[in-house]
Amino acid sequence: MEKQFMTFSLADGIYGINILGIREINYTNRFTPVPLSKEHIMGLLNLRGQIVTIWDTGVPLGYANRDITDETSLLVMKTNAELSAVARKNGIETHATQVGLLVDQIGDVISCDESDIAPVPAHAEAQVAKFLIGVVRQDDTLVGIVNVPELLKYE
Amino acid sequence: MSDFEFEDAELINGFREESLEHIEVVETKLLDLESGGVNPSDINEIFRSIHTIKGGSGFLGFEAVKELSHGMESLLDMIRNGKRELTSEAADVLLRGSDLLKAMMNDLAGQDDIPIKEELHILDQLIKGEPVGEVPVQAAVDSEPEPAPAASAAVSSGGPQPLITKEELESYQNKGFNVYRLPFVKDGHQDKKLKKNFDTFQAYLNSFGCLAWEDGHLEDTVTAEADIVFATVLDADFASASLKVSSDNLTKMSRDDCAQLYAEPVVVEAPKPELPPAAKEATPPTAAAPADVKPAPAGAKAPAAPPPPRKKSSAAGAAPTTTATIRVSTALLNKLMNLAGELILSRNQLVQKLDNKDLPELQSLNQRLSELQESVMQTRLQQVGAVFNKVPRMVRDLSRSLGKKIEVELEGVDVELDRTIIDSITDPLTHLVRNSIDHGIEMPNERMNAGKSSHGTLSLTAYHEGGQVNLEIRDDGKGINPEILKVKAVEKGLCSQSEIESMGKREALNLIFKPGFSTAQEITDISGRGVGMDVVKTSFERLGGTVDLNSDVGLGTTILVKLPTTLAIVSAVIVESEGNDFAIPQTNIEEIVRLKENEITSKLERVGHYEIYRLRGKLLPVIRMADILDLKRTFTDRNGKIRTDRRDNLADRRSGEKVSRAEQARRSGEDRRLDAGKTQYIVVLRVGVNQYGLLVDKINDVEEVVVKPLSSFIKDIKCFHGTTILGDGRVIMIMDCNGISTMANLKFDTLQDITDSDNLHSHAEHHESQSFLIFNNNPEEAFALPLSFITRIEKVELSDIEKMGDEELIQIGGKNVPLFRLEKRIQCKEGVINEDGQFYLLIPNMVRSPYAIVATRVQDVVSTTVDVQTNVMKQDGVLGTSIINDKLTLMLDIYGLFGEKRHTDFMKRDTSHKILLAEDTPFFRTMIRAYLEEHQLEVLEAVNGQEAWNLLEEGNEVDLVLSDIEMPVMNGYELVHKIKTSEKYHHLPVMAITALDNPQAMAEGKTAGFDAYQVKLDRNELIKTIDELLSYAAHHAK
Repeated sequence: MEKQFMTFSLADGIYGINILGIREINYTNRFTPVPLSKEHIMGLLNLRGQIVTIWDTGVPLGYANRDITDETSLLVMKTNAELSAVARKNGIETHATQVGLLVDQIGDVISCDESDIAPVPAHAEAQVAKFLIGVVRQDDTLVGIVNVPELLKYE
Repeated sequence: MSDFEFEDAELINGFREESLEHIEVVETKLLDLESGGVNPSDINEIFRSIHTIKGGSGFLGFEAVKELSHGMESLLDMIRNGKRELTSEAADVLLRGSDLLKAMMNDLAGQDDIPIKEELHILDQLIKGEPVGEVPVQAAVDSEPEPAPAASAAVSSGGPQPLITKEELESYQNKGFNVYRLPFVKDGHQDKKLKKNFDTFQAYLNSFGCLAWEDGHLEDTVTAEADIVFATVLDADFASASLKVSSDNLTKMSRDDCAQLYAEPVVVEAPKPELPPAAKEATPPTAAAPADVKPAPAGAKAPAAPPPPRKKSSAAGAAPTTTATIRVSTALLNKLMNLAGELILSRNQLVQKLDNKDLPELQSLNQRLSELQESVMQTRLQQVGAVFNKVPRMVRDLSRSLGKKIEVELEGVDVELDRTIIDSITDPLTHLVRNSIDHGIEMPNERMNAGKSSHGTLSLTAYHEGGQVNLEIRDDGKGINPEILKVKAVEKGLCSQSEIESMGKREALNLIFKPGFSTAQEITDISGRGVGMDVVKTSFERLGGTVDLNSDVGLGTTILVKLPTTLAIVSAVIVESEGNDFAIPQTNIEEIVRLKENEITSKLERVGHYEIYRLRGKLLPVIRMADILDLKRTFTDRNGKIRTDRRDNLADRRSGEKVSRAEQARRSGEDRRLDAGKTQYIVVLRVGVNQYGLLVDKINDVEEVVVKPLSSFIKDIKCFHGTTILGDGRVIMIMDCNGISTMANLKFDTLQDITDSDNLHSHAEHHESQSFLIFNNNPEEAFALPLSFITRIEKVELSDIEKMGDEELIQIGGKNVPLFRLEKRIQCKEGVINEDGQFYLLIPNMVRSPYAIVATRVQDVVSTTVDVQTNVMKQDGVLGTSIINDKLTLMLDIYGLFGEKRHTDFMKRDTSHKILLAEDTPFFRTMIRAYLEEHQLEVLEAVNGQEAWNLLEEGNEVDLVLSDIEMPVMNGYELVHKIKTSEKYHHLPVMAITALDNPQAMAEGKTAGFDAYQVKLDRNELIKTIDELLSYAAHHAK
């Protein structure tokens, strides 16, 4: 079964998320930080009247807070209720509320077969491994496929 | 039972909902009638309601419902025709009948299984006019009433068998267990495995739940089926699998259903005079042996027949009267509400885009929108009576079971609250009422012994106050003893011994809200297992409300709940702190206080851990917003952009630790805001019965904002209530004033105690800094004058100067004021006025004759600790020099400047006199010292009254004491009092020097014991008076 993933970079790592869960990609950085919030919550964004919680995707995956650059992009995810039938059939899950994932740089959309997704290598840190569904080889890099609902459970 | 097609489901639903409404009316009216007497219109209404139910049930084929309602209807018919009286048995059975009907409505499929035989029988008896009492089913003779809450005495086979008590079942439900009712087919169940007989079956069931009740057929060998009620944590799917029944057969039981299970068959009322003697004989042993028997719960009446609780309702009436109504789903209403909210947001954005132009079209749009919003909000409003009205019934039942007499008073039943709030307060309110009944109100004889009436009174009041709705639950019971609470708290490890020692009464009483608390002497199952009160508190707080408890031992307890009227749209004040905007709901705001530049250090005092502001005599704890939110310090860089101040404390760099601002400040002990030159604001907030202040940088607008709930990722942050989108599209946080005070750990009680003991230290003490005005007469020389000496600064032009002979004059405020050029008086460079001819005049205060000092340039206002070198550059008019802003600055002496001619004929001193000077402001200290020393007076300095006293006690010999009035630790009044009442020192002349120059203050000074009173600072007068006092003293010593 073919799957398509939106790839993006976090510092020196490449990751991917199934496009069926993504609503849109945005480049705004005008969000409101929430005082006293945890490190991975960057703030709240007004997206056409809806309030979206912005996550620093890197933090659960083990990266420290990075600076926001011109390349920084926002992956706005669909809520569980918004997922299409196809997405649901494919077992896609996101979150009950509006979430946006902030990433360092957007890459390309890659296609691969389900069988191409290999299990997370054993030497990966357990803390990080639990947020990945698996890895896919793309040219000579490994793309970590992110398990979105798990990631969003990070505290 | 009838079979129904799918389409009929809606019909049945409608019937059920309507019937439930009717039943509510019946219940309320019945209670009214019981207390108020028979009222034909009420009876009719009850009759009609039951009649309607009967009709509908007949039509839909619900036989059991029909049978019961028919019986009730018949009795009601006779009552309304006057053929029968509404006795208390009648009311009883009608009430129980409506309970049963309710149960049936909630379980129409299983209605046949609900036992109604007893009630039908009694109804029958009442209709026939037979004495109620002989219930053939009852094996009255042999059963001894068991004191323990076990199967009630009346039951034998054929009757329902509770296997656990009602309270136990309730406690299961409280713990979140699901209670199911299901048919138990003996063959089917007992075939499997070891479930051959009832006991093993029961054991099997109890392994994953609790068999609570069975309808009496279980042990029968005759019937092959029985209905059982089972409590378990499992949800429906698992339960049905484990119980080996299909989930269709599993009926979830509500609390009412469970209560219904325990509706016991009528046991005869305690002897009532009206009962015919025949009935009396027939009474089962319960009445005969009251002494031996502890009143069984939900059972036998107490020996003294308690009169039914009376309900006094407000004029509006108890139940919401039926008007033309229409049923609308709450989902639809919520949607309407959201849309109205979004409309408001859109309007705000539109207004912004139109740049706030005053278009008439916009006006009308505004108005319509506001009306729409209000109307939509109204749809969600429900009378609080919906909750209150459940109380009398509950009180009646509970009080009977406990043997207490309780009257219920309801007031304000028509006060309206948002529906969601109403739904959420039912449970906590119920808990509070049960507490009052259970632990508050005493048994009748206890009350009489205490000199109270035998009836306890429970009153529930609802009223509007300050934009919120207050609910008061008051009982006149035995009250709560804060001391006992304190002990319990320590016992349970909730508090340390030292913590409770410093607790005031209010704080101790509020200990009851701590999780894990329960003081019930007997932990009854009715209430108070320690799971209660803290849950109650959080329930109310989650709605944005507060709970407060007050009590007096022996007199009663009052619980005050404050709730916001609506949740969704609030008026909010937008405030700013460190460049960030926040919204504070206007209902919480009492007032806003502006703190001018230097007032921040002087007016914020420190008490223990808190900062305090004196608001019209009242002490207000102040929280700095930037600290509680740990906001990053910002500054404006060269390009005008706001950037984060990343400068760390040296200590942090060393340890590599991330330290919050508040922690930083605490460590360095410094004032966190050195730029005291900023205006700030204190927003005074009300939280329940207390107040506190929030220190912010700026106040912006008031905006109507739609409250959006916090996302799940941030909802744990206590200080935020929600978020919203402003008219300009920005997202900002809405503050939760309750949460802020919790986070700051504000203990209002302890605060009051500390400050009562008058232990205040002025903030200024930490600094000893003063504000100075730095100005130039000549570009090369800088001068400084204390800001407090200057009344005004005027900007003038050269052309404004008028010459009169030698003098230069200028018109200020209609008066001609002479100009004062520094170079004419002191040695300094000549004044150089700018090319544009503009310069400044400094108008001093506290001088006899007005002058205006010429300043060519006003540089700055500086707050600094003074370090005046008095020996260098000393001359008349110049106190000395100081380094300010890295520049050598001449500190001016205003009195010296105005050269009131020096009196030279001062007393010649042969002996050098010693003056004890008590003055907290260093600048004045230095200045006065200088004067005194000039006149050959020795000076001993003290920074406050206490130090002055200590110096005296240490043996220092002085001839006169010169004291300021306003001083920390010990002020002037206290010092003079001490001196004048002491043996050793009362001969010392004491003079006051102060800025307080009103006659009243002077009079006060004289009464306090001062020998003389001088206003700061007339130098000549000062020395003159000192001399007078000294010579007078010398004279008298002789």
